Amino acid sequence: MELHAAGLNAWGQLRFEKLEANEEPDDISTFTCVLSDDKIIHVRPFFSYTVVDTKTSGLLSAGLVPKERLALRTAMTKTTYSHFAEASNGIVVVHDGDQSVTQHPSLPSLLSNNPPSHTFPNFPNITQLVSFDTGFAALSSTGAVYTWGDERYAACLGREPTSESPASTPSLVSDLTNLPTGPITKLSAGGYLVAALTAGNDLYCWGHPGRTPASILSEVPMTESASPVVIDEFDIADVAVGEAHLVALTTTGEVFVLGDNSNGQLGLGPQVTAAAGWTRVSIGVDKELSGKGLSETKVVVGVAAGPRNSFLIVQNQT
Amino acid sequence: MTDSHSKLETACLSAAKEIHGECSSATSGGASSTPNSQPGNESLQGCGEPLVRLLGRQASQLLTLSSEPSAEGNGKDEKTALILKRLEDIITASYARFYAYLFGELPVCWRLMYTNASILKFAVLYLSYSGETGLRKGAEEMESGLDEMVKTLDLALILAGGAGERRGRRWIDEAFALLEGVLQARKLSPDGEHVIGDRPHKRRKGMSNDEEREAKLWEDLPSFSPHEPFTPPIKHPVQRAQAISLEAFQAYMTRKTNPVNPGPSPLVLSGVPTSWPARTTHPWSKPAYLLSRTFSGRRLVPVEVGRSYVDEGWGQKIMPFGDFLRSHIDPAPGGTKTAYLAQHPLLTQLPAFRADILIPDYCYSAPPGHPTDPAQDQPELDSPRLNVWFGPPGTITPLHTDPYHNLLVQVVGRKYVRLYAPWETGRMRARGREGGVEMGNTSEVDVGVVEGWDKGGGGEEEGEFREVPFLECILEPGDTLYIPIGWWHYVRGLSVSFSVSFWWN
Repeated sequence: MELHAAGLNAWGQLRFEKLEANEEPDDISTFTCVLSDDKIIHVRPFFSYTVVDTKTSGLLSAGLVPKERLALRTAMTKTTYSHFAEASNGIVVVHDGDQSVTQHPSLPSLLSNNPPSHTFPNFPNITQLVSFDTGFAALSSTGAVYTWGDERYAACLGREPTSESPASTPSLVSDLTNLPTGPITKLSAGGYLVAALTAGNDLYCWGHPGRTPASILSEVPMTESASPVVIDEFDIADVAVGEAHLVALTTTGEVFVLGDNSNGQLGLGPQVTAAAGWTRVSIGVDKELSGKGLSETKVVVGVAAGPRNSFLIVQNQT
Repeated sequence: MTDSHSKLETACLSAAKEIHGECSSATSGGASSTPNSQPGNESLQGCGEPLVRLLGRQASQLLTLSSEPSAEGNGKDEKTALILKRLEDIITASYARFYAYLFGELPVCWRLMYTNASILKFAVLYLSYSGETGLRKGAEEMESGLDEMVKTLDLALILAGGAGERRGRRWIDEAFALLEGVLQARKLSPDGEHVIGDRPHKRRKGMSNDEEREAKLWEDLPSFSPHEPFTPPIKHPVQRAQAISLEAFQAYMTRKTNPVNPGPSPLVLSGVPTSWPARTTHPWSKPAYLLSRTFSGRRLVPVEVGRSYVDEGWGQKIMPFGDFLRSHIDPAPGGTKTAYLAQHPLLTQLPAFRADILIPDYCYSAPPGHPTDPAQDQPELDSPRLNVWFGPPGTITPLHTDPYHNLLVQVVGRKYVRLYAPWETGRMRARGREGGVEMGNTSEVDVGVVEGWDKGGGGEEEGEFREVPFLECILEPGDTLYIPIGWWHYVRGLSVSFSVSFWWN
């Protein structure tokens, strides 16, 4: 399998080989193979680094892993924390691995074992905990989605804050219950956007334009209710949300991108600054090999996104 | 050489050296104990290792690049472009935090990061503009390079407050002054655009002669139009007085009032700003003067676009001062959207204007606290807080109340002000929390609509609001309105109008 990537590479987070001394790595503007392995199990992109779980080489990381993050990793192995997320306003949340989610004003505060600022009980089966710039979304094993965060950006919650379920308390996104194609199975969030995928491959999105010119995210519903997003007639197999861009994979293996391309995160080349509509993107094919009829068919099987870059997990099929 | 160019070049390079050093000490663990480290509030450390290292790397790249001779094909342009891209990445990543945090909770390190990345970006732009690479460029490219430099520093002032004691606002002010010097020299050079040198600054001696000459300089140039599309009638005028002494003013504020209507009342004073250069030798009433102090209108200002900040479609925009003058203050007939340079500390952003005004003595009085709600009282300000209010006819500041005493000095044009007493707060129909933002100091009532001056849907409660007693006045150029703490006020520009407000407590 291969990992293809495009976008921000300021810390070499798209380079799995060593950087040369004093090298300033440039961004990658079209999807390019950055890693090969028998099996790429999982990709987790962060602002300055990327962690990839592979079958043969185990956990690999590229870029700069900040000291705080290393400390967090140690802390998480020592405790029962199962999920962690950090918002851009510094607030962090962790699931204690049992029943509750605790919220802390900052990562240093969590690492110094200060008591949490909030404890939210009754969160038994979290399968995902994600953050956007001003809040969080959690997915339960039964497909229920809970959101909470800053009331100023209520549209990021996918629900209307009320006195019973204020913005600051995790509350169910009722628009995502009893959906025609089954429960939510995946969440992705970034910037001021959240995306959710159903078992039956429908895509739902909600959010706030944030700092991004609304025009380049006009395909995404910017309201307080989670709404379906349609890319032609395609069923959606996977989705990833960055700071101001989205990557969607269809069940037929097509990749569509949308949003900001300032760092080349859409893989559309250096001339494109943004894509205001869903734009199909293809991965580079080795021309020399295909000329000799030796090319394998490459199929994208998963997508991931960091705040300003994108990843495609590619399977070679002979 | 001691000319503007070499001074600015030196400033750019030493800024890069300093930033590089500060980033190294912020990332080398335990830096806080080393003697060279910055005090806590000057540290970038809170922005996290990746951004601090990235900024430090760009500073060192710039230093390396500037020490290399420039030659075709050695990739210098590409390297410069990558540094600029990375600095922009740092700036946008910092700016994202300005949105994410609640106003007032943003850790200062983010404003520092923004300002330092901007200073470094300016340094890269200036060094390539003034260096050999820059000299190969045409006039148009030079002009857009200049706009980019001005924008970079102005955004750091407007958005990040020019944070940082070691450089920050002081460095930026200095850079602007030097940049103007460089430009002046370039214009004066005999063979046009591409020579960088300087002439010695003309020193002004003999004050009164010079003042006279300066006043003459602007005399024949046009002033803003006094056109006033609408003038509201005055039925309940605010008391007026000639400028009074500080002692008399102090006595006025603290005199005993009846317990039902506690605290001082509004007062219009005439003759306060008579000696201000803004009203005499440095006329704020002349577009040409204002342009001469804003780098030919290049400097950026934040402007509110839309009728009133509570209206749909209202927004804030940052634009060159010259564009604001041309498209909004003095527009061709046909009319654009109302735009208002409102509640902006312009005199801090553009210190050249600060010298045109004087802080009224009254701001050094000891005013009483809030008459009805002591919870509104704020910690004492170190110095009066200055804001400017500059707009075309028809700008509106909706009915609201401020937690400070206020002197509103009218410098150019006329403004209408309506005032309601603090003890009427119960009848002001204060807004509540709206979308996570506290709006309790602003009324739902649109005075212009209630009075029939503006179109708009009228509610049932309007009749009741009409019953509430009020005071009102039209401020003429040279008038000063004292608005005591807690008084609700609605302000409406009648002609092109330029005012300065002083908050103090």
